[in-house]
Amino acid sequence: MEVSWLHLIPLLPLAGAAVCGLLGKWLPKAWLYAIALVTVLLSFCIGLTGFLRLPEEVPIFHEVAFNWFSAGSLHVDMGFLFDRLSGALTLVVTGVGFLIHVYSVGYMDEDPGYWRYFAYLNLFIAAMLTLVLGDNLVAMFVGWEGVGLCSYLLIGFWYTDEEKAYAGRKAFVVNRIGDVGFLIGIFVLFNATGSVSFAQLGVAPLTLATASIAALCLFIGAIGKSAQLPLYVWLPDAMAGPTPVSALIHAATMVTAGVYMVARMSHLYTSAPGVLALVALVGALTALWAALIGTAQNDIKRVLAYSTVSQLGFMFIGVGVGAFFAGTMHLVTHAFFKACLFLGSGAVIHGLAGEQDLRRMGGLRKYMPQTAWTFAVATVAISGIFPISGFFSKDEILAQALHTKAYDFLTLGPGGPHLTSLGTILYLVGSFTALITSFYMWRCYFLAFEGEYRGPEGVHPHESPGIMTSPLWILAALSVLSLVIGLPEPWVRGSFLEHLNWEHFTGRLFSPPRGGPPAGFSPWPGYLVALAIGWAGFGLAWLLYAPARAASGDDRFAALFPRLRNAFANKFWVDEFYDWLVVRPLWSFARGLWRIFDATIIDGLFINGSAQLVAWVAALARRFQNGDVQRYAAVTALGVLALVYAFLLRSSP
Amino acid sequence: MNFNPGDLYGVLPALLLAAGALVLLTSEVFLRPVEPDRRYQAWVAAAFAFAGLWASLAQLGDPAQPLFAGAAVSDGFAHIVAAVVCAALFLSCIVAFSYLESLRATRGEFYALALFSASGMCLLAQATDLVVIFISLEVMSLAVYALCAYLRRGKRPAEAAFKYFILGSFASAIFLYGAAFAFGASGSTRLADLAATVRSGSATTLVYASAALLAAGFAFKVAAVPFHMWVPDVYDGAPAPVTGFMAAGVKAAAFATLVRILVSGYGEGGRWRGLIVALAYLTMLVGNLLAVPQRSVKRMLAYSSIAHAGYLLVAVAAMGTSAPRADAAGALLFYLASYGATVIGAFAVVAIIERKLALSGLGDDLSSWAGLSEKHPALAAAMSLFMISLAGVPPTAGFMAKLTVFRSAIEADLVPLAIFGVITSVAGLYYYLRVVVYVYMVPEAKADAVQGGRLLSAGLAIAGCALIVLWMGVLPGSFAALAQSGAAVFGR
Repeated sequence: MEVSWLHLIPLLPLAGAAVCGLLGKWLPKAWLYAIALVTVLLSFCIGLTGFLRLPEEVPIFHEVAFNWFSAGSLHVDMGFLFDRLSGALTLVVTGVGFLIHVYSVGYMDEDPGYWRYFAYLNLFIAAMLTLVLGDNLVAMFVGWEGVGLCSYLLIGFWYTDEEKAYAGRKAFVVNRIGDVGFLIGIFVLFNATGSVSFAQLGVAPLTLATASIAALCLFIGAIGKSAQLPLYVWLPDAMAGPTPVSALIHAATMVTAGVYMVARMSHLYTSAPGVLALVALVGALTALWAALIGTAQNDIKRVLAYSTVSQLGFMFIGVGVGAFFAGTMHLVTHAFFKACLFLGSGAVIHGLAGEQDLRRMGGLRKYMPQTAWTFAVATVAISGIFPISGFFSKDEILAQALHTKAYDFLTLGPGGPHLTSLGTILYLVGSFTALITSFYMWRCYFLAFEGEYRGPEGVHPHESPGIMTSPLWILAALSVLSLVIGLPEPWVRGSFLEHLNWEHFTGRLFSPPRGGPPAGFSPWPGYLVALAIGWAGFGLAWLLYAPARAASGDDRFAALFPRLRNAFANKFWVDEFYDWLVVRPLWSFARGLWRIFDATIIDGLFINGSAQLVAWVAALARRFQNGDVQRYAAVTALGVLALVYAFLLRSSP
Repeated sequence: MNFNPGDLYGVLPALLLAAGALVLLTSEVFLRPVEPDRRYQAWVAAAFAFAGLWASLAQLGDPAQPLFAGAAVSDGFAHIVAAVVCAALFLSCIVAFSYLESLRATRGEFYALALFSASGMCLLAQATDLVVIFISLEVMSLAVYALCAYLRRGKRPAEAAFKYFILGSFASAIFLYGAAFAFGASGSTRLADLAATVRSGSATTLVYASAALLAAGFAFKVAAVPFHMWVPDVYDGAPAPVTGFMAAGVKAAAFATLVRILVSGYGEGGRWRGLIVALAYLTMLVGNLLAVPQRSVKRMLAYSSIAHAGYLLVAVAAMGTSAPRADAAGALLFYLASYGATVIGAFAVVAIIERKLALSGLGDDLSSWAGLSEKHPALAAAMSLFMISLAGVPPTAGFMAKLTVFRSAIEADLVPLAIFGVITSVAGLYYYLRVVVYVYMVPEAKADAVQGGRLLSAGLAIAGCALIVLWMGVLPGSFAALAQSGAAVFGR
């Protein structure tokens, strides 16, 4: 259905950003907060109204805001598409965004740059909504770059700190690599189909080669934005930004853009089964890789950052096995519990006057009970312990991975390649990762909240003000409640919950993977395994980090697996490896280039040479341009002569 | 010849502007004899400019029709050019207001002259008769000569205006010579009759000689090489707001007439296309090359104006083939509008700086721009935006304009010309970005720079120009559609 109000959803936060950014310095604080919060809340309300009124038959709202540009046959409208997927994500972005705005009022209140912060935050929401709601790849790319921009601005928010500015730069450079891939993907698709709109790309027939190249290029973009192997290195460093930013941008919304893109382009990806398998593999590897690193990190925000990378890997397993609904469902539930975890860590850091080291926390449950409780709920959710949301969404992914065991859609034709064992491998890797996830998350919880207080002397840990704890409670509640969208379909068939079931809800949205959707199966065996895994992780964590002796847990861990833990703690030396592989050679290459080109050719030939050229030109110009009117007139006359002569010469047959 | 009063509606923008000029001149008479307050004149002039803009936009949808028995025409192309001229005049009046006030130089003639010249420009864009073209050309030119000499203090303005006058008269003479040849060959001064003569195949050497002379006359006005010699001295010597208006308005009107003469008068471009291509090569090369050594921002902008004439000539050359003619005309109009907005903004910034320099007795050198970002961040940002737009870097109007022009050149099979244009515009980055470097990266030489009062209205105009430049760069859709609708007359 064509409507005319969709543009309001991104426009309102954009207007808020403009007001905060341009006038924020002079506005009274209360007004600024009101503007920043109300614009996001209004967006949320519009999104909610639209969501509830989505027509049943064709659940799509569409708006062409304006013709953006036409260049030759490339005709791009700035259009918005509001269907069940983008609608739900709109609610997540504005809803979680609003809660984090509220939280930020408490968190950033004393920072002198608060107005800049809220302007960036609102700008981010506007960009993210453009990304989600855009009805074509170019609009999506605008949002994609917009969220990237806000992310860099906010990572480097405290730009006077050299290290934080460096983190922003790192994120920028790493994301550029992905963005080039994304752009090439757009060009390939446009070249092949003559269109960039999702509606037309969703039905366009594509050859296997074209689809594979385009899907691969777009996925490179997703790898950068969603921090997958090998481009994940920027995300842990991105924790240099204020903690609410980590919660909103680097956990709940922006980094999931890659997953959203793959789900949105499901037609393209099912046309390129090889790439889809690659997506799942990269996801599985990243999930395991980051989870392992997460076991040995001591900075609370870094633990959560690696856990985000790992969970994003899970989502990619989901979309990679063709279960687009499972991947996006985990996206939604993850947004709630990961935002809750990050905000909880923010409350801890806030209450401990900036302390982020898990070894110097402990026993905080006594001082900040509300934070501890909500953190525990979210930890239950992420570690996949029955029955909170994470259990269902994560298990759905694993079940789908196992179930597409034949990888039917890899069969491109009769006699095509079968990767019969890939599904099983994915399932095993995923389940093992789930075990580790549960372990490191409980480790984090025990170290921070249980046992004795080991924090810095003279700091009196305290609970955060109500404006910061209430978002925590709401997010914790959402982490629990969102389990309803993940209940297996057989359980809810016929009841009113059926409409809320994510698989049912997004039923006709995604292309079915080639080879047909997996048939129904009993979820029980998988659930039992998952349940056991979740508790096993908890048990392991308890064994090593039980409240009474949490402080020495790391030593026991190190005693068990000395070399492994060392590797985890050093993050597999990836940063050092990249330094060795890319940065240093690039430096020496650049230095060599500088010697050869800059010092000799550029400086010698071009700079000095061009200086001489300039001098020569200037001398020439002075000769003619000496201010002498007669000389000017003479040149003009000569020009006329030449022109007439040439005209006559050319016109004479 | 029958005079049809209804035809006057067709030249409404020019009439409005001329009426405004007369109102201003007449009102002079009723002022107090001693120290009269003339500030109202800027706003009256701006109001008439705005009315002209509104009229030309309102007439945009009217069907094309000949006026005054074929002496002029009312079509989309002319209306768009008139809109560009009126918008340039409007912005220039706002810039000039605070500039002249701060120099205590508001005198009666200024705005009246500006309105007269703009009225000449609007007529020029509509004229289809060599005599009407000549008259409008002189209405425009004489007023502009006088505007250049407006600041009577100091030698430079007077010298610049005098040079402009002498050389301009020379160019007018050449144009008249060409018009005489054309009359001799076709027995009429109407472009349509000339075209009929060309089409009939009985064209003689006389016709082509006339084409060369007429083209030379306007090549002078658009500042094409080798008819560019006057540009640096005049741009340098004239007051900055006048220079901005000249660069935007005169260029738009002169290009419109050049296109009108060549396309409507000499038809299929087999004969003139090659020459315009040669002029374009030469102009792009010399303009960009000579801009490099300039240390004075005003002179640099003068050479940049020559270089931009080269890019516009690319669009004219692309109109030499009939297939993409309307596209090329649209590109030309878009380029004129984008260049106008950019250059008026740039000269408005120059006007503010120039006035400070005048107060502090410094010369106009790049070094006096150093450290501008510290004192005036908004001004520095605006100047950088205009420089980036002139250089043709996204997301600015200049980029979209260059893109459309080069694309139309490629469609017209002028690939080498387009490539050459791209290369020279890359070279242009050097001298445009140098200004940005000075503004942002070179620290100010001395701490005690002169603090002039704020030029509020100039600031408003700069903001307006910056907005247009960004708008045309980011959302060129509506502007491009407007330009295409104006260019549709050449689609036949």
